[in-house]
Amino acid sequence: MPRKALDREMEKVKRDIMEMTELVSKAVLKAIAALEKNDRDLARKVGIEDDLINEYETQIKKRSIQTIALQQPVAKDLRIISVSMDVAYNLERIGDFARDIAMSLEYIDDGYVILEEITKMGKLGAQMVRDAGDAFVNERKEKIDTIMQMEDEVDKIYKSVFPILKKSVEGGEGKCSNALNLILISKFLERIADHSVNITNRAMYEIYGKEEYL
Amino acid sequence: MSMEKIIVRELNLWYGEKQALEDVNMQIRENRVTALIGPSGCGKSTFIRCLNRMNDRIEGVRITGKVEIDGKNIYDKDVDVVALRKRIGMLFQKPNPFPMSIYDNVAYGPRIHGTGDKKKLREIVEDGIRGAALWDEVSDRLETNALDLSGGQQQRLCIARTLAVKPEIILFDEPCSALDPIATGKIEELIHDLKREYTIVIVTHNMQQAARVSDYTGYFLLGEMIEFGKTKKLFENPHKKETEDYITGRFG
Repeated sequence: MPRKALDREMEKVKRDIMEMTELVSKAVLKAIAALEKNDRDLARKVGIEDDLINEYETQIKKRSIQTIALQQPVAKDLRIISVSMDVAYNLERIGDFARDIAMSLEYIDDGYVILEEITKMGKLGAQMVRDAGDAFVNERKEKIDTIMQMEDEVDKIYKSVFPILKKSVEGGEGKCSNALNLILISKFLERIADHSVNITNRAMYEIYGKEEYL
Repeated sequence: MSMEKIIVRELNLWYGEKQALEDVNMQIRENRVTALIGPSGCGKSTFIRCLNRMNDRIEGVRITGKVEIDGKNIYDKDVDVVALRKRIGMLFQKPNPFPMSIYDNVAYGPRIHGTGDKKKLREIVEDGIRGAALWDEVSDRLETNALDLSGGQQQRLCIARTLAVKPEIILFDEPCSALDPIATGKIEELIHDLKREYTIVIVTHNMQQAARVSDYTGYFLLGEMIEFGKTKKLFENPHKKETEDYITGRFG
């Protein structure tokens, strides 16, 4: 006896999560590209597109609540629906960080130098978002290892960037405010990696039905 | 931590040639609600009726294995079945009050068990009706005919009648399937309250009801108990695929 209505809702929720993942991952890449190229138009675009990401979160949560109320899912079905709300929340937070990174450009003076490490963190973060979304939507448990490796790498880069920027601030090399903004940006990127790990964590709960924090 | 009130060991039951229960093992904890779920014909009602030897009355039934209550096998030859059934109350799908007054329905059991004192009897009746969360609705009309009550009230009256003989275990066989959602809600609330004093086993077709009211759930299929465990675990992450298929509605 299939449950067509419930299956339809779950497919729709997963499709929405996949689209949201794609938007958020691209937002991170665009924010970094805007920084790299000092492209203020692109930065503003990231800000505007964040509204769409927020709307996805609202719709996914609304749909999930309705599905629980009307279809009363249990077991794996319930895990999929409840996890989709957690995933949407984490993606929305990542979207906010991407927006904040892009918006930082407004406070950075022309002539700043973006560290190569920050660009690398951004690219890793975007890939982590994509892989975490994939782990949930397609139940790809083999993604854990690669995501955790990327998380380690992001952490390592973050720890290496901080002393460099701190030195810039203390030594008065270049504009102090630029260095402070870059410290914030690296922190946002480190948080993006953390939220991607949260999503992976929820995907593992979806798959295995156990709470095991990574 | 509650103790096991009922331990079922290797229980098999045949209706003539047809085997209806196969090697069922289960531990039912005291002061907990245990729900039995499964598709029609899976053996869950047959099983619950083994717990108070109701199947004894059916011709051609053969039973092997043990049902131990407080360590004593109820299928031992020296067991007094009438005394056993006094310890184990049972409620059915359709409320079945006797065609007499509300008061007499509840007083019936204590009277046949020898309570003659009117004051004592009145106390037992009031306690039973209060215990079944019916007192506020009927206290001013105890002499009216029980058949005038609504379906939900009749079912609670049957619970009151059961409580009046001070059982230790109460078996519910689909107690809400003839009731509307409000009456169902009252019975479920009552089951929750009753477990403080009684051990409860409930058979239900309604999986949401099993999830709402029980602490432990057993899933039956074709006479076998496929999975038994804490309700929270069973409905969140069942161990067996058969259970997952059934509770998610993808069975069959």
